[in-house]
Amino acid sequence: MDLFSRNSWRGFAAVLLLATLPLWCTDRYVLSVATSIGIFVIAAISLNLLLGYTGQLSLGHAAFFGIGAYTSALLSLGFDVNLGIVKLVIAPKPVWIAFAGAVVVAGLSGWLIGKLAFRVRGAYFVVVTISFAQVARLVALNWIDLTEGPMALNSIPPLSLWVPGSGVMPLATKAAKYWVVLVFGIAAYLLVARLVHSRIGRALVALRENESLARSVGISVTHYLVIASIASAAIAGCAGALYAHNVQIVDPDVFLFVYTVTMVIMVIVGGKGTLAGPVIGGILFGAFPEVLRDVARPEVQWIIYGAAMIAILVFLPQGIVPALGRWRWFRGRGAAAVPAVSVVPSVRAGEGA
Amino acid sequence: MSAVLMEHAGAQAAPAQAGPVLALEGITMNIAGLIALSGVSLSVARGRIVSLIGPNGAGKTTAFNVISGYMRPTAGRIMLFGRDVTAMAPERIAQQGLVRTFQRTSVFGACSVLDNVLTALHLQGSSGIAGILWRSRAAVREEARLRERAAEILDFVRLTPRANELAASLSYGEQRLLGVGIAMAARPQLLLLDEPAAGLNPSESDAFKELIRAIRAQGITVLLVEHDMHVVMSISDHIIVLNHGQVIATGAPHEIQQNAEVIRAYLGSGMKRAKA
Repeated sequence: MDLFSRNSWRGFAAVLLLATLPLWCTDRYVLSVATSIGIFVIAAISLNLLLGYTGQLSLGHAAFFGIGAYTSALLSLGFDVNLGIVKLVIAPKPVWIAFAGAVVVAGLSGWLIGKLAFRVRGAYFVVVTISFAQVARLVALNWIDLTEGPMALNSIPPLSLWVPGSGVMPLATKAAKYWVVLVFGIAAYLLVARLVHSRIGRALVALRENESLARSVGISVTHYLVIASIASAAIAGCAGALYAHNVQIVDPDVFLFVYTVTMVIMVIVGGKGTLAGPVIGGILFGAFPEVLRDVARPEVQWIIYGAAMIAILVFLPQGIVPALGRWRWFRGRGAAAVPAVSVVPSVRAGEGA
Repeated sequence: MSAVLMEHAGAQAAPAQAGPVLALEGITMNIAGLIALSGVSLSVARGRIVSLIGPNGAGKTTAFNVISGYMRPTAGRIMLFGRDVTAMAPERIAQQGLVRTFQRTSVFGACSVLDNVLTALHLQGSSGIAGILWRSRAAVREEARLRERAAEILDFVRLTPRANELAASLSYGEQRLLGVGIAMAARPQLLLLDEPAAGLNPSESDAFKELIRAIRAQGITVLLVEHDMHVVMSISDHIIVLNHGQVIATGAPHEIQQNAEVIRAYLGSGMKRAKA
């Protein structure tokens, strides 16, 4: 079910609601929570492309996120590092160039992992991605010349915007940071939506559904898995860069396994292989700990968190979004229960994935 | 259906050499010490319906897997349209114009029937990631063209009324039809059907025979593995009999029915039933 398809008033309503949040909610704490939820949602969207559409479980997804964060931070701060033969000195770059660099470097690491791992799929892919994240964490922890190790990279500049008349303004307010994340969130959503509703997306789903059959009609398995891996890693890197410029400090903990697990939970609870799944799952499980913080002690919070997750998966094993899709009221006007007589008119319009 | 077929037949003309579309030359296949195929040589002429028959374990499905690239033969050579395709990957072989169906039902279950066919039209599209993400006009036009073509194929396999249903919710017989639709979408010049009539009721299998004939009428060569002797005898132009991994007879249906070795080795009661 495509909550934000073009013909859906629900999509407009949701975007409108999210876009006006800083106007009717001035609580700075709420805004900063909403911003970090947004960043997690973008990461979950990127993971969903691999996990939901190609069916490959990446348990090292935090690595792409972390690589994005470190790349953008390092490029915007500048760094010098002794590589033995040459000393590499990089002057501080404008934030958006650093940001773009983060997306590219994360995409390249996605390409590398895709090439390596998709030769051996399934469980091996999981192992390769876990190892990759661990290696990335160890590098961030120990290559102190470059990353400052556990001392972390500090004073990362915020993103900026060129405003006619007043020049380049740093986006330092909570509302501005929130809007930037929202814009990238919508862009990531639309990018993935276009991709999965295309020839390439169908090839990805075909590999998930029936690899032998996909190959029998000429779909080159490895090629499309690598494309998915690059796109997924690049979007995760974008989320990481947003994170770096948002909190303005990056330490090796961004590579922690728990972040990957959180993304996986968001995707699976929301509904893997649906466009809205990671958005719903991300908002829900991003907001959940904040809501619980006021009502329960920390130990109890985690127990409730775990119990809620198990309950959702027991009662809605496909995730929340597919369950909503089966609930007819929620289907929107286009999709009647009766099969359409004509095939050609946009089948996608009402029902989405 | 005819409009689709004409267009399709027109595209066939490409490699118009006189030789067989497919030739196996001394194919041997060893699976964990078991000799599944032993020096099999056979050829399939253009535009025919050719059946590969034999008792269970004769090596029919192994032959299919070897031909379509899912297994690599231990020895021998496979020539497809005069080109050596031995040990080529399945998707590369499909790109050459050889497409197969599978013995068990094989569809993309969680996708709609229409999406199944659209997916299989993969090779008919060429939009790259940039065109798709920017929604270039070429990409949009291509998508419309593919949807039109998918509708035609669904019409051909008579699944138009089911277009929006999930493939997994179709009946067994309909899933087999969809399997053929998927294979046809990949625009084969040579179509391999693995037991297309298995498990179908008599009226479904009659419909299937018609479908196979309609496919041949488009100029597509058909090679099928089939157990149902009624189907085999009534639609085949040529029959190849395998037993214990070796070709024991080839010929027209009436020749095979009279071949003493075939009757002894395998058919027996099945042949009597087919003649009746």
